[in-house]
Amino acid sequence: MFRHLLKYSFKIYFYNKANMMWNFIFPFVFISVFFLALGNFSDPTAEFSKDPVKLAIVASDQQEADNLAEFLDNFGEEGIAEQTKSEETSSDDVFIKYQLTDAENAEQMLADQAVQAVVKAGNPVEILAYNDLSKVKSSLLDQFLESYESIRKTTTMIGDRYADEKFSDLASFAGSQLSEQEFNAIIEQTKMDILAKHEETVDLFSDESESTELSTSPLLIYFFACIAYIAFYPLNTGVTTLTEITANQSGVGLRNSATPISKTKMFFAVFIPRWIIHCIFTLVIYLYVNLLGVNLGDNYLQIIVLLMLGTTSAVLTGTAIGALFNFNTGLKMGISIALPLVFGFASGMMYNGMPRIIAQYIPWFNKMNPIGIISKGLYMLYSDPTFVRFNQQIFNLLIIIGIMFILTIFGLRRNSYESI
Amino acid sequence: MKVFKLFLRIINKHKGFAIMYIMIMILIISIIGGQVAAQNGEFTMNEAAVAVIDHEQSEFSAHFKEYLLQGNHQVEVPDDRDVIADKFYDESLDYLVIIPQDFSETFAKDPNSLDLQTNSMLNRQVAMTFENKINNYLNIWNQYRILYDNNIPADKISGIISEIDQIMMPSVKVAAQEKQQSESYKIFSYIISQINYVAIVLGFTIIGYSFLVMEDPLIKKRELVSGYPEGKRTKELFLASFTVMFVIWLLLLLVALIFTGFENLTIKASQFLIISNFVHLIAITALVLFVCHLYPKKDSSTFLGNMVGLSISFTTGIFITRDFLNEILLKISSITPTYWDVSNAYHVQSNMLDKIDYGYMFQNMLVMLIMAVVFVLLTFVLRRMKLKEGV
Repeated sequence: MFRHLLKYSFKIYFYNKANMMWNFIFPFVFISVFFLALGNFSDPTAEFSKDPVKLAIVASDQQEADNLAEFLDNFGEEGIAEQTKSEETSSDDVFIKYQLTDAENAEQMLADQAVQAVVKAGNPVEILAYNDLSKVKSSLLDQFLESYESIRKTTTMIGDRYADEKFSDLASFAGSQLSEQEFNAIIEQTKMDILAKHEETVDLFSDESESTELSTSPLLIYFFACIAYIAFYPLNTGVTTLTEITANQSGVGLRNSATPISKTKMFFAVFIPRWIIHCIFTLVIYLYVNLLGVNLGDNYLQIIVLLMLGTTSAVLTGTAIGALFNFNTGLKMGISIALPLVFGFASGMMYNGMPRIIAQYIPWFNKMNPIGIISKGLYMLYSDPTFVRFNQQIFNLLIIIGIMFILTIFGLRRNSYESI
Repeated sequence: MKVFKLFLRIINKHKGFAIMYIMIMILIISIIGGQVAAQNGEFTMNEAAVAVIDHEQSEFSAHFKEYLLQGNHQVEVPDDRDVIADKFYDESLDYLVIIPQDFSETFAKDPNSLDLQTNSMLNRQVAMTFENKINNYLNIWNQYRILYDNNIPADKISGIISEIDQIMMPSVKVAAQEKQQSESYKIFSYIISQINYVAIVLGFTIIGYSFLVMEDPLIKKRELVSGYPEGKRTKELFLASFTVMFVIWLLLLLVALIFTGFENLTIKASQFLIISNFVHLIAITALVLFVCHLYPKKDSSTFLGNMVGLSISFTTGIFITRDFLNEILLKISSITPTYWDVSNAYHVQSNMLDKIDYGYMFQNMLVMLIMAVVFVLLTFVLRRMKLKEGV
């Protein structure tokens, strides 16, 4: 009899078109949209190279303008006009395109949207105006200009210090009757010394591995949360499982309750097929993510175990909600959609700074957030060579599964109806 | 107004569900809004959790530590590998620097051979920010090192430190006009675009659901048989949907204004954004009603809201900045009204107050309005077709 029930539960689940649509097609669509939307996140610098920040540089002092232009040549190149026509041929490290011009022309260029900002090369550098400059680009421009300012200030301060210490005894210096030639030689030497100071640079991280693909960007964090969300998505399946065996929740539930089969047996007959289907489906999603080229790490077995446990915890959380609360099915379904959304948000799916904020203000929430646990488990598998911390996440998931299972069984046993 | 009242009564019957969703969405908006307002709308890394273990305890290393912690949140950790690893995995630590005992000595000999141990969380963005910060700092010190032939006299260090503090201070000026004006309208533009996601989700889960309950053949036929004209019924249904959405929107707008300041109501750019967001609300409500006619399954409205809300938000640049979005996907997303409203928000964010093109914003509003009209007309056509079929 149990085998018969299992077989029919499988069939019924697949015959339900709404189930197919929301539990199977939605996750594929979501992952695909997510992947496509974040496609450029893996290499943001390439994006900037395709569309550099365009500047018009104005200056009252030509030397100031030349100095700034020389500095900007390290990250970009001069010339605005040719940029639009040859975007494809643009070099990979061109983040800025600039043109030296006068104030009037610069204003015109800004109005024509030929440039995005007008920068005045002075002391200090000033962004006079900008137009159509996104937050990311404005922050990039600000960083470049601050670096320039920092070099200039360093040069000035070192120069002043050098001069102060070299010519500290001004009285004797005045009396030394230096010839004009000697004085010029000292000034020249000073300039060369200062120049030399800027040629020797410290780079402690030059040997750091040029991390590949996703490890260099926040994309992976987004993906961990996204996959964890999909693994925990079948929460509603747990809710519907209970709806179908509880007499006061649906017609099917009423009919099933009237059969001479114990409620626990009926529960397992409906639960097991759905659980198996969703575990397999989570596996298919994982394969699909791999097919898309997102590398979540080489610990395939551990990843699969983690995702399966995540899905199990989702279905059982749903059954616990279904068994414990007596409110209408619509509200239960609403909760079953809202919970993964809240857990996903807290795990950084919509805003990647969220896990930090949660860890700082409500750390206990991270310990009971199943999506956070799955996401963190994936993170640990990716970055921790030992499995100690990963095992801790598995243990946390097992605790959630255990609690939800006990609550479900408890909820199933305590139901009694005054009238149906 | 029988149908109008019945619609509100249905929402009232499901108020638990509606309140739960509204509260969740307000919570999401509040957290994001709070964070963005705290960062003053800048696209910068959040305040990072940083630990610096200083084994040298010299004036130089103390200043280096102070510099690294500037603008960040200090985490105290012992020099214990396991404890540090736990902190990283707890997400209570983003970046760690261990300053060795021979820091000054090695720096004097060869700064590039410094054995500065650093560790960061997986997110390379954090690591790169700190690597640049460290390199910049050491490069400035290196200029002084060269000046003093690799041996900075001890009595000069405090003077150099105060000079370095001046050097590291931001000094790039942004146009005077911009400084005078409050930048709160930029933060407001960011938060108001987040409202769009909430409007879509709540549109489907509350309005869509209630609308489909009203369209249940049993209720609909009962009303039509009682002599209530179909045209009047349709009008009241639409009016009720728009009214409820408007009330929800007002609530969300209030949250946005609380976080960004009520002075936004007096800034022209913010006023335009509010109007644009309102037009978007109309278009989205029309879209919700249209989709509910295309796919009239009330049990699926929550799923639908979830799917449409997340997909539109990821493709139009609500959750991820458009600088990194796939261009083709972004173009495809222009078939949704949200794309045009988010474009207005981006326009305000990317321009100085006096450079904002209100004509462009108005044009985008017009597109949304046309979309709303098209959705409403298509909905009427669908209703007429269904009426003829006797559904």
